Amino acid sequence: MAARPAAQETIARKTVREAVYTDAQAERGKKVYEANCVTCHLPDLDGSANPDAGARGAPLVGTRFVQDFGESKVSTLFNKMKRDMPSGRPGTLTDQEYLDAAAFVLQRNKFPAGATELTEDTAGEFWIPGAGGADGLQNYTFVTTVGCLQQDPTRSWLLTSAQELKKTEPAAAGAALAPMSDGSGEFTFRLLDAISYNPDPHNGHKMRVAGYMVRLGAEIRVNVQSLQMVGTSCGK
Amino acid sequence: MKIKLSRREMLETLGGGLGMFGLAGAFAGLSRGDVHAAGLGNYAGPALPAKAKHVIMIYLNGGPSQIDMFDPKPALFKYAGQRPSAVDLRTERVTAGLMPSPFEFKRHGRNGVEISELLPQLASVVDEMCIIRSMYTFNPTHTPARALLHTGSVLATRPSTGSWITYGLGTENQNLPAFVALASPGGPMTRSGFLPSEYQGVNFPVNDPDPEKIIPNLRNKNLDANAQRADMDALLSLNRSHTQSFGADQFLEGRIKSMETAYRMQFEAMDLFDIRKEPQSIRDEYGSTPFGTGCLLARRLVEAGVRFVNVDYPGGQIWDDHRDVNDNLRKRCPDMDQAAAALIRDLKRRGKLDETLVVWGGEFGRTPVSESGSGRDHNPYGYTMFVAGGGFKGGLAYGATDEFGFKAAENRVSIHDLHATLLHQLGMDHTKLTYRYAGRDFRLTDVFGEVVTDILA
Repeated sequence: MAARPAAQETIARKTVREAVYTDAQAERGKKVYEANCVTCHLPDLDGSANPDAGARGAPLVGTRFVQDFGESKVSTLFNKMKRDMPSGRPGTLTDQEYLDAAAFVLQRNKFPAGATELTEDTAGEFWIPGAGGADGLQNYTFVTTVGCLQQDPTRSWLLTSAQELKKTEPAAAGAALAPMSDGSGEFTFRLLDAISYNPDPHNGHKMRVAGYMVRLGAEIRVNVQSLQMVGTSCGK
Repeated sequence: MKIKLSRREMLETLGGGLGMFGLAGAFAGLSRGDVHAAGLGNYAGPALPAKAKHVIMIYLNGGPSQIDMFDPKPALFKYAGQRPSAVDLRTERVTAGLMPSPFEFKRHGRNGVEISELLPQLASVVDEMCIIRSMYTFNPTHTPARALLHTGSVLATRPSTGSWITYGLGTENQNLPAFVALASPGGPMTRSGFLPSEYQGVNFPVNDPDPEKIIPNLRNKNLDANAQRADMDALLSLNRSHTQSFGADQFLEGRIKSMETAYRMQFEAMDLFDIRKEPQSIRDEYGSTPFGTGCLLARRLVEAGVRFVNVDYPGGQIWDDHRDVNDNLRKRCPDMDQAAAALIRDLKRRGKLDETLVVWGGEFGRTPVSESGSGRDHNPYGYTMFVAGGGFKGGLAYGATDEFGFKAAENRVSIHDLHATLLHQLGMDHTKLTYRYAGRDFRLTDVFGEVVTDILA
């Protein structure tokens, strides 16, 4: 059997958590946004996610933003804006104005500001993280986490209130995993092949899951290789 | 003039030329039962107990990914990125390491058959489906593999399955083509090859549900029915004189039959092809997409007596996911899943599923190893097709591929075996459905094929 490629073992990607814009740039971007974008995307950037406003622009914050632009480079956001926006007159702003607006969007998504402005070069270099706290982890990395095992209405097994994924070594089936905090987290992961580990008796239990992380668009899933009970209640 | 034929005269006319029968049948107002009783089919082998009368072939051009839809392989995660010797098989393009499916498989139906989250609607009718996970074919390239699926041969000139079946069984409705293709690019999917050309599939687009768009210019706006009848009578007379002078010509007969069919379609086709006459709830069930239109039309056509309907998922070779297979499947599966499941559910509800074979699949499957980082290459070694209705066992996942989903490993079913089994369910011995051409008898299954009795109810 051939060895797993070395690239699978490394954390290679740089993300916007590393401060890729400045506060001054985001402030300029806010002015661009208010002049060109606010009608469709609304002052809070929630756009069509705001049911009362009747806005037609896609939300630029929250889950939808992660779905649309998570697991993409910032250049995807920049290019989308430059190609399609403002609605009805695309491409009419300068490249610098588009970059400033992108910086504003990153700021409103709580990514930190730093000392260096966002440029076209850095936009092509840094990634916007997807859901799941798996920044930089390569697909199929063996990971572990703790969360609440639950079944949704479609009978999918989820790990809710889960901690950030941690890279670990594949453990032998059934072997005890290393100790891990049993605190709650903020993530939800869909579990693949959980049915092979008799999950029904543990519905609603706090569980430790180990397995292979897999990305599907911006979503992070875990292919279960081990399922161990941490507690009989999720203890929120 | 009104032609009246006795049963004896009608059969005598058959001997003198099939074209004569077609037009005479229409003019004499023969009932469908009369026509069927006349035994228009050419199958001369032993009459097997037929379970099915019709076939609907749902074709996903390009090779849909069985790994992501029907054949769960959790072992791929353990070996992700690796390339063990078991997967070092030659396919069409350069491939890399094993690539697990990110899609969730859940158990469905009375037997707990695992189906991917991509297909929730088909999963809901899995108890009607015989899922064959151990299909294999003989070529990794689209054109020959497509020919194998549709004709049983890699050669480009052989008749399609629909042509063989309509040649064997004839039609139940003289006012319609016996073999209809919806959204088909033609070629092996509809070709009659060396069979008489009246057995060729007649192709209709389904992009617009308006029957005037599906069959433009069907109605003759310049001549009324009597004038057209006089024209056809005159033409028939000329053709008969030609035949008497020069002898029978199968190509001329085929052309006459096709023209007569087109003439007779005026009486029935516009209503039949108008799916807007279906209740809105039924149209919603199939979905307002071209593929939904195709599946709903297929149901209406088999109910009207059409023998074989080929429904293509529109868009050409669109299931050929060399890149971005996950994103592509998430975009493409919903309407396919909805319409294919609606077809099975609807046929079942109307009591037609037992007599209709619904066959689903592509010319091959896709590899468990990645191509281009995000796609999968062609895989003829092991893939999935399913058959619903027509006496196939429902709720069954038959056969298996190897640990990684590359090669059919258990209860292997070749494309010839599938053809043989389909013919068996239609009451024909695949070794006896033959046509003499160029000095020898030809079969759909050539010299291959075994009926897979394990999958029959």
